[in-house]
Amino acid sequence: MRYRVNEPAVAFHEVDREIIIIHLESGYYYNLNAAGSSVWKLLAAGHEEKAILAAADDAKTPEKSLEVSLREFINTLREEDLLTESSRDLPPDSHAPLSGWSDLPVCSKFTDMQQLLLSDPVHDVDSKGWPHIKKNPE
Amino acid sequence: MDSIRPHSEFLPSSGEPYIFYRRMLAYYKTAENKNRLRERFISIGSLRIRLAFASLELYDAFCPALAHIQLADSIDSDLTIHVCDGSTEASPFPPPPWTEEQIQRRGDIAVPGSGLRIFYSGFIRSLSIFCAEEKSAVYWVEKAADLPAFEKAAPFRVLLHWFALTAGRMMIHGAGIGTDAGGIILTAKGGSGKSTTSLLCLKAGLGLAGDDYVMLDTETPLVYSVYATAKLEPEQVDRFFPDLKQDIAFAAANGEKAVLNLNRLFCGKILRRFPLKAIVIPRISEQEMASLEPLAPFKAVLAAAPSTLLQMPGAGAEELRRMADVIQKLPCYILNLGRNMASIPAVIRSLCAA
Repeated sequence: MRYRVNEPAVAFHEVDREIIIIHLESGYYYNLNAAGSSVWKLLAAGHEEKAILAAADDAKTPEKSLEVSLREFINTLREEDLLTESSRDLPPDSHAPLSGWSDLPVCSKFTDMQQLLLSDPVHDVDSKGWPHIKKNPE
Repeated sequence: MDSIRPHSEFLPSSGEPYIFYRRMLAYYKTAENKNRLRERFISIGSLRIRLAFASLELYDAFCPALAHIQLADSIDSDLTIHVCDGSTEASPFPPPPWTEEQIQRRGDIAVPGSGLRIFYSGFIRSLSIFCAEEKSAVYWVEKAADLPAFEKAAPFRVLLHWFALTAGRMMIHGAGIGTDAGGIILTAKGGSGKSTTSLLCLKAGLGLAGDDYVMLDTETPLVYSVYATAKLEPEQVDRFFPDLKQDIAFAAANGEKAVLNLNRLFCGKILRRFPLKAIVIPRISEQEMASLEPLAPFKAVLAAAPSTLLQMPGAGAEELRRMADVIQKLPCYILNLGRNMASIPAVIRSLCAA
């Protein structure tokens, strides 16, 4: 399985080896630690999930649950609508270049800005038509 | 004078959205012929903007917030904003060439390849269209009388943001506080103490470039003033600034904040621009005295960027990159707002002098 970043709904940028992601439709925003940012960049570049998981076998961490953590991490990115499946036709990808691995990938989610998007601009028009809106839409 | 640089999103205008834009200009012209043209010229640094009002109500509603950057004479402008309302019954409103599905979550309308940027606010019932190629924009609102106070406090901010992008600048959700020699951007989500801090600093002798929005040149980096207004919860006015109560420009209604006209209250303390020295994130704390804590750049971006991007229709990866680039070049701090509010201005003054 390959993925792509769900752009333009999602904006992201790397600062100090950590990725900051803003989902512009849900109003949620996220912070990936350095390990998570490494995985994100591989996924965003089109590397196959199984190749990243294979690379995790070789990676050295103090934890034994690296592969499980990695699967959960990628599932989180999918469930949060940050990544979508990609049909990009790329050469087979047996081993992703995962390096500098020293920690488990973590995706921290922040929900405190969502109220900025609560006033939904999609509207019900009244009998005069667009752009006149119903006073009391059902 | 800064050059107006091309932006990758601004393509030659074409297609049905462009025809709609031309019809909106014709709609504006009908209103201008009916109601008489009123002009104002403003400058935001080197950017010169002509405001052409075909509505007296909108002229009266929007000009006070911009009075401090108003020019005495007419000038060649880098942008003309054509402003009208829905009272022009003689001219039918042009049918839009987009479907409801094209209206995005923040009100921007996806018209790729048209060379236009369009924003529809279902809450205010306003439409903003920006055509970079023609240095022209249209602002329409259905009923000028129904404008909420926050729109009067910060008019045309979406159009000004899109225009700013063409000149290496962007609108930032935050307060600009300092002196002519330098200052800070205080940024965080609403309710974090930005406006209270801004007014405390003004009363303590510091200058202000804006309470809620400023324009930032992300290359220099210089902060420019756009609006000379401040928004406060009515109870904040009662608690901290009872002496300003009689100067509320737009009274709070329907749960809105009260709007103060700072140009009138603090004439001479509104800064037109200043060099940006630091990014500060306010945090309400139980400490007695205000204090600063260094903040890692990625945490500053995480605290500062979402409120700007989520409130700005169409903002995305480009704005996030620009904000992150600026923030990484500057010292960043948490400002612990102590119980002794009088201690806040001195802390901010120390950053401005750094």
